[in-house]
Amino acid sequence: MDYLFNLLIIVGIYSILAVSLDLLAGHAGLLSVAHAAFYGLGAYTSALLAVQLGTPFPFSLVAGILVAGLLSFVVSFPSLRLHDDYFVIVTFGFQMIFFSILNNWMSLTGGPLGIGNIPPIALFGFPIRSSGSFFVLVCVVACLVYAVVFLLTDSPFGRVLRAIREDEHLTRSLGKNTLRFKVTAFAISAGLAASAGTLYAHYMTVIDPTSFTVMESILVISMVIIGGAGSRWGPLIGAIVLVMLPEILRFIGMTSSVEANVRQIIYGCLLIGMVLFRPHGIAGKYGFGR
Amino acid sequence: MITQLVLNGLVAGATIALVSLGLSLIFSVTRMFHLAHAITITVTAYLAFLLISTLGLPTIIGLFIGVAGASAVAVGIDLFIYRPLRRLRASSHVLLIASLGVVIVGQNCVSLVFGDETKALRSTDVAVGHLFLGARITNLQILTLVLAGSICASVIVVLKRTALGQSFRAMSSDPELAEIVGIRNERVIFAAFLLASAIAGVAGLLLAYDFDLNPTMGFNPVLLGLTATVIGGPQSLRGSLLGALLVGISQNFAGWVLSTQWQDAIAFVILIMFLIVKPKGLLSRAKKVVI
Repeated sequence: MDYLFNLLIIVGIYSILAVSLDLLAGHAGLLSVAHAAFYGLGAYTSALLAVQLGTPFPFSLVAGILVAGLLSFVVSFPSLRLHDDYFVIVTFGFQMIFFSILNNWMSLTGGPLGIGNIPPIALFGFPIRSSGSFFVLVCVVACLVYAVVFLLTDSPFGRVLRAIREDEHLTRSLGKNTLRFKVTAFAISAGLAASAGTLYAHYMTVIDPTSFTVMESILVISMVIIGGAGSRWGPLIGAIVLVMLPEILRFIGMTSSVEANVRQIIYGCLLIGMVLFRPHGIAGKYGFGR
Repeated sequence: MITQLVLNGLVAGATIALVSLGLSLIFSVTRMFHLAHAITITVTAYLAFLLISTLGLPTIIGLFIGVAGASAVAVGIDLFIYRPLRRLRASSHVLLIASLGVVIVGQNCVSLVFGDETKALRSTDVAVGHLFLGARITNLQILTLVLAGSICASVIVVLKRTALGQSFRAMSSDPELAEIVGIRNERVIFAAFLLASAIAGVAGLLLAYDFDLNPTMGFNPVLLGLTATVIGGPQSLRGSLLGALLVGISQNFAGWVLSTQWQDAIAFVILIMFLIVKPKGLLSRAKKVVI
């Protein structure tokens, strides 16, 4: 049962990451490879606050979101003025720089050793210790995140984002300050990703830079694309598929090192396959670039 | 000290130049960033390793087949993945994503077949370098500079003097018009991939001899090569060379001033600064780049 809850918690965390990226990549068409950086920002901020200052969960959650949202401006300022491919490359660059900082700034982040002894979450004085109760917490946070994203995408704000995705010049000619919309979407996306990071940090109780690499960003991108970009449930479906599918491999009896590679190969093939044959993904409304 | 840094920077820049030359070439004719170039580098090294170390073939043959094999893989990637996407009029975004997918699959296939432990190709011990103007340079480093220099020079000659080079430049300027005047776009792209991948294969071998092999060995060189290409202006081969030298030297100087662990981050900071200040690149001739 614990195993199942563990799996569901991972699915929950990734579904938050996927839907927050979808707001940016699926609706606004901005394919950011820096998502893992904001995920990590949330995780490290909450971890540091909890370990050094004993900050309780709801505050560390909000703090993580704010830090990520604010730092997103550092990334969006240079990158959002650039066209398609260059935007992707700049976000790539920021992701690598962020990883470098995590790995090398020993005094702040503990470097490769990361941060340990993160205290479990205690809500209203009740510590959340079992996987089952943590899963409920993840669900609550995920529902909130999804609600926020749905509200945004169903609103005029969402419509403008999609218009920007389809034709930015036309949108600007209609009088919309597209830069402002893009920067806002970027900040919200970053903040929501940070919330997933907070959950991850408290669940794992130990975090290190290897969880927040470029490959992680690419994994989340894969979830968005495979599940279906720009749709309501696509990101969730993508998260479920990409987390659950490799678990089936365990039952075929591969050794763990082989299993890790095969899992990644499946991810890569799914990504290539989707892009070639079904860019809308499983449930998407936006076929990337077709 | 300064001389040593400059020398190291030039050698690093030389290897990066080989990679960025290929990336620039491919970008010129396909308008996409072929990140799967990383796989070309890795496959060349591992193929050579397999032939030379495991099967015991003579070194020269192993090296040649390594380069040839990797070029074949790269051309295969273009034929089976990029070409269908191009036919479907996919945006460069999509091609980039597909490229990422290939990198993931490729790296893990290598890991599956060869394992994750570092493998070594070198047969001699690490030697003290020759003294030159107060700095030390090893045989491998001299070879790197000579190879990179001659390859880059030849490519530029090919570009200027041959019909193929003319086709590259035509497609770089306006692919549709090139097709109209009779240039077979797909064939030119094929040639571009072949050439670029062979060059990257050489870089892969140089890296293998200098830094040993591991499944993810190609990724960083490609990111640095990408930085160099973008800094120099992605459609300008000369710009890529300039960018590569810039990246190589700045990395080494930054390593001295700050500390070597920040070397990679510095390259990306430079990239981002360039994109803010001069997004079209140092030597870009492009008039139609939409920013």
